Amino acid sequence: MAQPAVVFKKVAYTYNAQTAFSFKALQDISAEIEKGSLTAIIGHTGSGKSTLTKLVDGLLLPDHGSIQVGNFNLTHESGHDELLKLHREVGYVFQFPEKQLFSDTVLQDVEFGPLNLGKSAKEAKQMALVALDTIHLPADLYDHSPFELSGGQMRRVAIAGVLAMQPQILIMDEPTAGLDPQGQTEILELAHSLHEQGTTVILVSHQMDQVARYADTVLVLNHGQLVFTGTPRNLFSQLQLLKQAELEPPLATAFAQSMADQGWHFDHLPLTVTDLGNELVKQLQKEGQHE
Amino acid sequence: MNSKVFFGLYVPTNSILHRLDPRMKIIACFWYVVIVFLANNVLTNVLLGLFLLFLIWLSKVSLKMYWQGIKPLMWVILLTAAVQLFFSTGGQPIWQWHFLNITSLGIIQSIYLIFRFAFIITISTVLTVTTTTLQLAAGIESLLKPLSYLKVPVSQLAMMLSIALRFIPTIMDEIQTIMDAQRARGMDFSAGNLFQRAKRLVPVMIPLFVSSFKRADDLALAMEARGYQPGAPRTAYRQLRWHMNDNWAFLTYVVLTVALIVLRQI
Ligand SMILES: Nc1ncnc2c1ncn2[C@@H]1O[C@H](COP(=O)(O)OP(=O)(O)OP(=O)(O)O)[C@@H](O)[C@H]1O
Ligand SMILES: [Mg+2]
Repeated sequence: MAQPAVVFKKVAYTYNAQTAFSFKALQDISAEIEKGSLTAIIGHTGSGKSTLTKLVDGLLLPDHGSIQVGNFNLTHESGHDELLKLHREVGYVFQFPEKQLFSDTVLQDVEFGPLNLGKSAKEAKQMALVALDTIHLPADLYDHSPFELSGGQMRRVAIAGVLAMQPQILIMDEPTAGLDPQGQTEILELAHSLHEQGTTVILVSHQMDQVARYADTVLVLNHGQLVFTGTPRNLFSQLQLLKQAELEPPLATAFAQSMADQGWHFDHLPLTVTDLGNELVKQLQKEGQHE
Repeated sequence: MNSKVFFGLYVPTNSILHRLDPRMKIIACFWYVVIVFLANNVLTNVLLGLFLLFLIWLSKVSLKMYWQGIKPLMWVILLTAAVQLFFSTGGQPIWQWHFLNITSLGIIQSIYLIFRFAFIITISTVLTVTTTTLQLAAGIESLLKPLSYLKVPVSQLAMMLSIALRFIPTIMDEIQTIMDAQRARGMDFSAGNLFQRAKRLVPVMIPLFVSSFKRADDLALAMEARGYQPGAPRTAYRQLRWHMNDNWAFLTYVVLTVALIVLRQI
């Protein structure tokens, strides 16, 4: 576990540098993302989450500092060939990834990545089938046009297109945005099971309940600066910090917090509804014994 | 390539030029382009250049922004100037090699040509930097109004124009995102010969068309839902108003034109 998958060293990024519209999106970010972890990146809108994840996949190069991803060291001088190789290691599921679909059939679209990696047609098909199996798409849809699918199905096919490349680091930028609750759970469970199989997962999210439930590490960005690194439990007990970063605690935590204000005591700060239930049962039993 | 630094994008500095009537600015821009061709000697070019600097100063937008506008077109300008330089005849020959020759007149004319280009690009940038696309479209609509008597659907054309202008930055952003997404899927846009490269546009163009059509569809629905009817008379929320400053601007242009004609004779 000791070796980090990604190391940010004093990273800064400015959009439209040296123009009238220059905008410092990230400043002086230093952090590590552990190998095999499920790390959540959170922050309010425009805080630089997508910028940070694009840096990990070399889609943007830092103006200052460097990013160590596996054996790659990305700086503003990194070359084209190095970046091409990097894309083999890192999979990036964009915000609204269904926008990237283009092929005639679902299967062809998922094969696109492996073919780009130089796999033979047979291998690519095999990798695509494995990926499609992971996302639980009915097999009779494989030769349909991706544009005939429902929104949620398109999302999953697009994710399969990234999974087919079998990346060691998987970035998902708000993968659940705009999906129904069941669709959201499916995708998060998928991320979780990939994480359990050893993939390093980096999840950008706006939903604290998801973060509390699935992430083992959290990075919090606020106006382009890293303001917190640590466990979700540690983060959500710091109300002051959350407020400063314009974030809300998870529902269960907020609920427990307001009960605590009424004089209740919790041994453990509940982060999820299950936690909360357990804690409440404990409390109620104690109450019962007093009477 | 970045959409936010799109050639001559609006910069909100609320200068006196920003507050002029867009019709005045459109006419002024056109007129300037016309009189640029009247400039035939040093004095007239200096006059036009100084006037342009004056406008840039008035616009409160940094010179750097304007330079950004010219920079991408620099090669075109230099190439045209080089053609003018090597192939024009007249004046005293200075240098000759096969069919290439440089003459004194050629040098002078190619210098003028460079200025002409720079002036035209810069004046258009002054217009677009100080005028929002909505105002531009409103101004054009108002100026073309007389054509509606000839059954030209002016307001529909203006609506199409303003929608097109409005969505250029959005589409540029979209192209960037799609290219990034395909690059993340291992695609190499720069390798291979021309044919292979052209083929690689497919994974970018198809998603772009799909999303553009979808966007157009959504927009049409939203417009209909809000009662838009093509051809029906519409009123504008922001009425164009001709102010005193517009008169002054007009007068300035008259003076400039007269001065130019006078200096031409010298
Ligand atoms: N291409 C661009 N050009 C200029 N500025 C940009 C560009 N992309 C992003 N920005 C700016 O950089 C900042 C950070 O953007 P980023 O997309 O990383 O935010 P985010 O945290 O992902 O936000 P969201 O939650 O809305 O996705 C924003 O203020 C944004 O306006
Ligand atoms: Mg984002």
